[in-house]
Amino acid sequence: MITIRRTLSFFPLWLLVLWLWLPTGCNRSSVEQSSSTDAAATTTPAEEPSELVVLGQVPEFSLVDQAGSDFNSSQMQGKIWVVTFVFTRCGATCPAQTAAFTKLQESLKRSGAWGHVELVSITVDPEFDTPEVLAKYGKAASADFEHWHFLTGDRATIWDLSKDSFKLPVLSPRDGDELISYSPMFILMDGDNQIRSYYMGVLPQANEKLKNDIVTLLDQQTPDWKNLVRELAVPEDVRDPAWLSERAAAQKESFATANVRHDFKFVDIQKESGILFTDKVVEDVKKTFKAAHYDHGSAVAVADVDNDGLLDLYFVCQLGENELWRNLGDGKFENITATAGVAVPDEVSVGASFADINNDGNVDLYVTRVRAPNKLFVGDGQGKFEDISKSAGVDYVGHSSGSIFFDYDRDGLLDLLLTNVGKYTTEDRGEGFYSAYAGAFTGHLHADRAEASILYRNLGGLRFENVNEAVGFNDVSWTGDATPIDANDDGWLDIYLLNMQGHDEYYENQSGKGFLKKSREVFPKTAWGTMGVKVFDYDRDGQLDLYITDMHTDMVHDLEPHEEKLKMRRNLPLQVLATDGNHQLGNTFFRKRDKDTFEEITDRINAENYWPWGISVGDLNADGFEDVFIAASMNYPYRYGINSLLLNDAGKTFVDSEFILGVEPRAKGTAQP
Amino acid sequence: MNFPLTRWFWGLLATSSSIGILLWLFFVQRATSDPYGDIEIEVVGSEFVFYFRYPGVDRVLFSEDDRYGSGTLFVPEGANVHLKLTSLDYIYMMEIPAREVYEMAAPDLVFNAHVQASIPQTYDLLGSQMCGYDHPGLLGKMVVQATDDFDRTMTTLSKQSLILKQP
Repeated sequence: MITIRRTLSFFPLWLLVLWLWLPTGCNRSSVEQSSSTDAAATTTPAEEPSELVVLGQVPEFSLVDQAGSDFNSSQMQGKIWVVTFVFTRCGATCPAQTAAFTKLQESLKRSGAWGHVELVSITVDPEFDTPEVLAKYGKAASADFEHWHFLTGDRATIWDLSKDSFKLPVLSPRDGDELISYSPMFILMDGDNQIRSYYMGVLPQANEKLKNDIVTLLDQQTPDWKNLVRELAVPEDVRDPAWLSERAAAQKESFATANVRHDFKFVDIQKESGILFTDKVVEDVKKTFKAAHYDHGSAVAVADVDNDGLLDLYFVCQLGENELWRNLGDGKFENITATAGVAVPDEVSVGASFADINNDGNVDLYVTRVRAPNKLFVGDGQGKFEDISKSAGVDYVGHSSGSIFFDYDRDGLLDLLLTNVGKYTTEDRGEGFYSAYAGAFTGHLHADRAEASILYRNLGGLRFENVNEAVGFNDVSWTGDATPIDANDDGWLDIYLLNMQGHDEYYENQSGKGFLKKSREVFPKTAWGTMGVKVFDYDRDGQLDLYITDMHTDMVHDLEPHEEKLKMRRNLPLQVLATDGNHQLGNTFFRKRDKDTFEEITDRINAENYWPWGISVGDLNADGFEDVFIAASMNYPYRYGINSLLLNDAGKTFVDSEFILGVEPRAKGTAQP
Repeated sequence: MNFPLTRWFWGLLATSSSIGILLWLFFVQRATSDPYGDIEIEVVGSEFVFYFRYPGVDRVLFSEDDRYGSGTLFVPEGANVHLKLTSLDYIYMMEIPAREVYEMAAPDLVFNAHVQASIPQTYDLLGSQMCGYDHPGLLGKMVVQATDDFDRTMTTLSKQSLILKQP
């Protein structure tokens, strides 16, 4: 559209063309030239996507680094490096340049590119910027000197380097104590010491472009660089966050007046126990930090598999073998996975449950998996198991998670509720797993990605039958877990089903013959995005209460450590919620008051915490009231979050106790895994 | 330079005609340079940056003369701005707090957000990666411009997509 101002700007040109074109003065080539100039003015070179062409070669040079060691540019051979010129006394753009380098360093560390890419800051004030001064300056910038070099040297050498090699101006009147004029540009160098691009280092957009160009160059120069990443560097503030000690001190102080019994401590004895299990997770979790359901982790199940009176541990693993560790007593364990036959080595395992499905007094085991048949093992009571998944009819293949055994029809046999999440994986294969959708957490908005949970009736004879249709149970929530609960006190177990991408659901048991969905009638306002649930009598009033953890609202915006007990300040956008938005923004504690009557009392009893997952309940201090442990926090690069240990103060409130009882900080006294 | 009389005559005629045309453009163009009623703008999240696609001169989005920008979202004053949000990789949250715009950009989905553009001024435009972490590239501005200024801004934007990594 032509605007008035634009038209006016062309007017003098128009008059000039007219006068030149008039009879006897007409020059056609002049008009063509003018037109082409005008056209050129509408598109500037800056609009075109820049190519990473070679802009020049930097001859080999030698300087001295912040440690006083010789630095030769040949050591950058094969690396991508970014150069800038600064000086420590500079109060103009240098602080912004160095701050941008600090951010770039963090970004490169997060991506795993650190080491493939190096940073170089060269002083233009070498008389003042000795190696010692540069070391102090770099330390203040949180520089990792292994791959960020601060260089100094002879002034003439540096001047020539700036002007002749890197093509950047640098000026100083007469001597080094005077004002120095230099360029604040960042220069991108390739592995052959060639200049590939320049960036205005103090502009955020330019830095974003630089980061993208680094990846482009890296992909060209070292196509498999991502495969070479073995471990991502963990920043200092994540390894050892300062607020942990402050939190511990505050908790200790708060216990000066606490009445709840706490004269005991937990001690990490994993090393002494002999347990060598380590969780092996998929690349989506450990390398690309993809926001998908793999980052929900996997389970541990506990039962006495060999009837020796000691509880054994079954660890579930995403990659490789699950492991069954037999309890030897005295805190010692041995790995009996191979003889037990429950390794399930292929594909990703998610969850596991022990239950006695045939009432023979021996525990059996069900293992849920991702896009591989779920496994049902029948136990012999001697620590050995037989795979009966197929004959039992429970070898569902999908994106399974929870397995809940309960007797919904009161026939004396444990039935199985299998909770399925939804299709969160693509057809792309990673190493031993299917890659997740980048937008996995909006999967509930794609009807074709829904997977119904399944209620299996135990028919006896080690066989099960899918009775979804027969009992009217049709649920496509993105669910990871559920629990039986007799909410209406009729003696038949109902189902409270979690939804990690929507409201929770509630199904009322119709005397074992069917299920009636009564979600909003009984629980008008549940959390949105729930992960863990436990039913227990919190206040010993004879009514079973419901404690539900809500993780997903904790990821809407960053919460500082001192805000962890606060409810989230906002909802997700309504289009994403796909609900009316009327939900609890955080953990939910429903205290049962009467038949089908629950009261939400979460904040009143201090039941909120940060980024929670599963719940365990037990009377830890033997005072007759059930206490709670909540596994919490999120995978790096999120900040460290604490596990929560809540001591039950006589059914009146929960008391934060994780530091007092030795659960936090975790092993090694640091947040680093 | 020596101009003959006929040339002065034609020159004056041409000049006066031009002034006439200019006056016509001034009044007629102002009358026909309609303000934007509704305008659609696509917002695409990619590699932790928001990219914007604007309708070009024809005021029709997804046509050949569309223009592309990033970082700063330009909108014409008084317009009903319909944002169509999507993403090429991760899930992003986009927010313009002062105008109560709060929406998500996700792969394989298009979310619609609406903002009624005010008089010319500048607002903060915030962004984050859902279940991820903050990225400076997702922070920008929404700039409300007078219609003429908006049109002129459009002519300075790229004619090609700025997104470096297409899926």
